[in-house]
Amino acid sequence: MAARRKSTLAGGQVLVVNMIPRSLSRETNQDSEPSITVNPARPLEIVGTAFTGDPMGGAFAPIYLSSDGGNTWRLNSIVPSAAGSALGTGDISLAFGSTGNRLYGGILRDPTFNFETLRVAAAGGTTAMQTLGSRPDNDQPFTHAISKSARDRVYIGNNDFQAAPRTATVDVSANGRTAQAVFKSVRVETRSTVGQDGPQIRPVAHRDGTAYAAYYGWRAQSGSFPGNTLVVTTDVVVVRDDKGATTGATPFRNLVDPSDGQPGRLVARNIRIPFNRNGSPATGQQRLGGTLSVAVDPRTNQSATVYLAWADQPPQSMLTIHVRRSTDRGVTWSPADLFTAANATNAALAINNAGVVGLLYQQLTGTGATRRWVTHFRQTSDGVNWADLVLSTAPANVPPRRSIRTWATTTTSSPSAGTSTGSSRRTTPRTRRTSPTGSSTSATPILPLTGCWRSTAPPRWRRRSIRSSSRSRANRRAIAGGLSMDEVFPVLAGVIVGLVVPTVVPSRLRWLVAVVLSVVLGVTASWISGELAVSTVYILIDVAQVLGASLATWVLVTAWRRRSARAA
Amino acid sequence: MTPTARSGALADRARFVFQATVKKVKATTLKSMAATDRTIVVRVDRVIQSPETLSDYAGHEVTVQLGPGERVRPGQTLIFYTNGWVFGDSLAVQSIGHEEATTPKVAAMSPFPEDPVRNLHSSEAMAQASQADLIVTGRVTSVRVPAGEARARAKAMAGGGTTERISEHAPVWQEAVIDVDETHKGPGRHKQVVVRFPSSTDVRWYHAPKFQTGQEGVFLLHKQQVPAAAAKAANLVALKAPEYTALHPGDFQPLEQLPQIRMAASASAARRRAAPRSRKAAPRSRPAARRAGKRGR
Repeated sequence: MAARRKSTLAGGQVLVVNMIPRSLSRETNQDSEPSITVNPARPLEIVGTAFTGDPMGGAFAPIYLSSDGGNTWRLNSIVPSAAGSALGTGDISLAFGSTGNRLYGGILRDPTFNFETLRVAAAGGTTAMQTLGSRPDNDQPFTHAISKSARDRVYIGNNDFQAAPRTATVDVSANGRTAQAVFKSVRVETRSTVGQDGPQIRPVAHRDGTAYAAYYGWRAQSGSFPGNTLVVTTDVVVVRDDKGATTGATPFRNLVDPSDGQPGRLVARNIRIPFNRNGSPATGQQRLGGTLSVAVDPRTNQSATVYLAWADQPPQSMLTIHVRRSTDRGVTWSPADLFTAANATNAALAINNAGVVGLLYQQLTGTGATRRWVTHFRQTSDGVNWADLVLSTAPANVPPRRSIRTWATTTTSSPSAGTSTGSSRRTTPRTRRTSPTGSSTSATPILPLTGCWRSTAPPRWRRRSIRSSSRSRANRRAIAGGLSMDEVFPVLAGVIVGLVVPTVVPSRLRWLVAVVLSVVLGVTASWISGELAVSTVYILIDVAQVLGASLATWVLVTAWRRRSARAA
Repeated sequence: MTPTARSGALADRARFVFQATVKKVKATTLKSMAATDRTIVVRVDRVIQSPETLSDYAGHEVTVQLGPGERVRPGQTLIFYTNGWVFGDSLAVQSIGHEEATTPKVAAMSPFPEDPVRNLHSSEAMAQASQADLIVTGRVTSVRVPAGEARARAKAMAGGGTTERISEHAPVWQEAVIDVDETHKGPGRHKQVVVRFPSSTDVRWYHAPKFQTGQEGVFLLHKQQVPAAAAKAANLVALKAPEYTALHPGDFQPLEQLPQIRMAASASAARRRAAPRSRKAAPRSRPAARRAGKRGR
């Protein structure tokens, strides 16, 4: 482990950890969409995932593995992938059974992006995860597992385009431990859709057999996805099965909405969410597409208590997270939000075995170039009082899509490499690098380790303008030429100002005009070089360059004129 | 196999190639890993070929798991051809072969002596060239939405829908029209080729080349690269005859790589020419041998 530090959290402790193993301190991958799961049978065993390829281009993508409660980490390449894959894996979500140490998962496998269901007996072994099933045309698998009577019930929410127009699906295995574990695809949507549902289908289950799933039921749309203007009108739906969804022809139909008599409680109706193809400066570069998380109280006789977090886009907010609770198995929900966060996304709820609710989310603060992504971890025991701990705060405009100088000199951080499930890394191609045996200077990765969270909820929607190592090299090559070109404009502008002002402008106004022109041209230089998007500090640098060049030229021209006059 | 050919074959299969001095046998640098008869500790003297993440390992000790039959002694200086194994508090790699380190051998393996990452990329570019169906040099004259897709999009949007499934992984296909200067591999001579590429920067597609008007270089193009089912799922419609795809980051190379790409292309073409001959020769030779056998009896 490269770096650690301790902080406090509501009487507990937070261990700050860099999950990148020391031997890979030089890596610069963005490692997007992090998620984390704890082995309930061995709480010191933690598995993290991200879009991380095998460092040597092997045929299996790695998981991040800690066997000592997060103190040290190593990569274990056991996820099916393809040799040479830079990506490692597409969407990935893993979960342990509550007993037996088996690790289950759903991935979109690189390069086909087929949805594959996976299992391995031990996360730390050298045996690769076994593919139990595979099919194309799918999105965002999300895994939950729970053990009961020496059986592992495995639920993998997924958006199955083969089931269009009702795509919301949960693949259920009644016993993932059997040699040839079979998953049944349960279609949880029963209402009309716009042609598909949203990609987030989130299952969760209780030991008593109760299983819930939440999804966005898409009802209408406007705008264009390729044009990045798509807005979806959607319901937030919760379905329930009282027998674990393992029996019967039509599971997940125990919860009926009183308004239309259809299965699935409509917790929110006709809300609007943007569904972006690309992020923008206004969204802190984040692609927006809703966020959804559900958690059930794992304590005995508490399966009726369910927390739900979702997001919509009310006026004046980029995206607003709402948290509500049901204490009667999803039949009725708190009439108002228990918690609301404006301009926020990537919600992840979990309830530990003490009944404490944890909510992780990321919030965009500030305006313009001062926007920051702030990652919050909140805790509540009553749904009313929410303790807050800020896990990280990072500039929202870096790394920019095109800014050569930024790539070279600034510490970068992004929500996509962020902290929504408790794992956080900064991606700092230049400043974070350390020797393989040295200690990292990375500042803020935080892993909350207060108790054993029964469910984890990886956020599934992130900005993904990922930089590969080859790309960073290309950028660095560009830096060599780009830096010098960035300086040409302010210096040249300064020379022109120095030549023109003493000649054309009346002497009493020369200083004023020279300063004003230097400021204007300095700002222009920062703007056209793209540096303004990074930091306003570059204005000072460029203004100083223009002013310096103009004064130098002015002095030289004046000296040359005096000399010429004397000679004449 | 000649020593040079052996080195080349090993280097093709290894991602991390380095010159190292053996420090200890039956030892390891990782706390979490028990030493075995096959694990040794070496000090890396020079990195010859590596991914960027490991390019600064010179001077550091790493664990090497020897392959079956490999034997080393402390103090030996060797070139190790390895792939990844364990990435923890230290690095452990698996050897697929080693050989004595000599100055000419190390020099021969390092076309870019100060840049092991470039050596690896160069090797990958060669592999990509051998797999390409068409290699041309030229420049991109325009980038456009495929005509059929543009029409379908307009029609679908008028009806309030979209042509693609709404997914963050949608490729959002575009076409680049390339004016060809020269064809280095592939059938016929082309004045112009059309390349389909995903414009999406989603995690699934971000590494695919994003062509821009005016872009000039070497284009390593492929016929349909996606299996039929996945192609249907990804809305990758059937390509017309002169259309190709570019999905791999190595499918576009700078012009400076051209000499090596040409070599790789000619080598693969030679192999291709040789393969049908041997395939054709085999059926003829077997009956001939049978006939000869009968005659012999």
